Amino acid sequence: MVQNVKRKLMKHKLMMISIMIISFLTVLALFAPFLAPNDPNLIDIVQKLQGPSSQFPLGTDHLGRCILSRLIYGTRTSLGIAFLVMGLMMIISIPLGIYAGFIGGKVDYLFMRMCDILMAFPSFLLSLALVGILGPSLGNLILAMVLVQWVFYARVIRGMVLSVKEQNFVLAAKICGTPRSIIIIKHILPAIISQVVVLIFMDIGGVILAISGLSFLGLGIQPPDAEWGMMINDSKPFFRETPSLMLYPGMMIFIVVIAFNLFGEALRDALDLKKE
Amino acid sequence: MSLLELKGIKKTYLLGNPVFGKRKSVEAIKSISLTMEEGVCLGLVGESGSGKSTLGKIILGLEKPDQGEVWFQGKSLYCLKAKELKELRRNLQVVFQDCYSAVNPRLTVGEIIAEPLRNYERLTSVQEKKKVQELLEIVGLCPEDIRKYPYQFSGGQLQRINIARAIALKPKLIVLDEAVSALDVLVQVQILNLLAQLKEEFQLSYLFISHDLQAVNYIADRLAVMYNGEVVEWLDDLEQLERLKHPVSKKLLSSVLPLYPGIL
Repeated sequence: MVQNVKRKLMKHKLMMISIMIISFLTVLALFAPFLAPNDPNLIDIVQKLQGPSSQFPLGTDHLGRCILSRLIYGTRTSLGIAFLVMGLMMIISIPLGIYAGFIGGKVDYLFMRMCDILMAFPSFLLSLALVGILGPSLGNLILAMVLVQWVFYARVIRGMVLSVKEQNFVLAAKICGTPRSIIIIKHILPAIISQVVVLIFMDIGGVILAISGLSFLGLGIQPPDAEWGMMINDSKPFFRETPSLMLYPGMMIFIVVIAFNLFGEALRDALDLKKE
Repeated sequence: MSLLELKGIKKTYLLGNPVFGKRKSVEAIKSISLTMEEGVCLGLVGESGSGKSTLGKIILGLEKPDQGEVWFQGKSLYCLKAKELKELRRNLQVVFQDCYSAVNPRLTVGEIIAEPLRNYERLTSVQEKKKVQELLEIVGLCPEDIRKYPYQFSGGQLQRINIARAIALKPKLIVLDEAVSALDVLVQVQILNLLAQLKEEFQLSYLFISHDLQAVNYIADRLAVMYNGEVVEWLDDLEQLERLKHPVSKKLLSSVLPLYPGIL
């Protein structure tokens, strides 16, 4: 089984590329202090808006900060926050989705209508409004994103549980006298977990985009910390003279989102039992 | 005291939204009363949609009937506390039609068969392994199969694994919900022989749900014909299938293919 998945992963060239990009970015994020050539937050007005040089490989921004260093540190914030948001959402939505799907009944019905109501709002605008009310900060950004988007995942997981629960082996386990908690751990969770992992990787790109979007609007990461969306926002006034200022962080977002999407899709194909 | 007694069972399914709007209802079982003695195999036949599988689920304690009582070993199945129900469930097992979906594809055969044992008997892992291997031998598989996964078996072998799991706790009653219908004819005969042999060996009782009169004839002692949620005909002597009178019974009887068409 593991061998088979491995072989399938190798088959996808795009998959290999996306894995390489993701591992490269992970290394960047983990070892940012060692890899960055300069202090990302060091302001030096004299050196502002310079082109590439040996000291600043990608040049400097309007405050004379090293762009490459800021990009590297930005990887750290973007990936870190995206995975944190995803993790928190899963902590909420996996138990709730399983409860709604497995126990079911009227609680499930009311719960799902609540989801419908929450999903009737455009999620990005809702997070935007929430951050606006709570005040712009990193913690509030995470809170707003988790509060708005967990419903979507709870719903999808509920659907997965519903389809597994109707399988005869779950009924047989019930008849064998297996307690509910063990049925969930032994039969339900293993059956849905691969789908959940695929879901996480297919959606993490969206989360990174949303974080960058909110930061672009000044609602997420606060200066002077580096973040790609904020870097794009910072470079707006200098777009004509030095378009590269906007191009670099834009390219980073683009590459990361594409890499995660490709990875998620390939992972889905590789884990799909039916296609064997 | 009979092993199983159903008194005026009624089950209606509601379709549609539970809060808003009017809900449609489907009467799966109108009114069924029956008794089953120990050591008997009761055949329950009927067309699809006649409510036989629903009845099986009610007997297994999976679906609460709207009206009526299910008495199993002198206790009312739906009026018990969780703990008592668990004890009673020990004597009540099932073999499903679809042998593939009845086993968790991610578990080994050893884990699948050991599941009921783990819930009721405190065995050490060595004892458990020995017991599972014994069970595998009883149903005609190799003890070495214990480490294999379900996808390594054929349908007939998987059904043997399902039977091994069902008999692991030496239950009193096994509900065979179309247990052989999905298998090819040769394997059907093998499984039916195995079931008949196990019935003798462990003094089991079967509720054999099927639409195939031939298979029922092979193994059952008594026969009940279901139609539209009701038992329309009883037959105590299966030697005399031709005595069936109800049109539905006749229809089922005529659907049995002759062994050598044109010759006999």
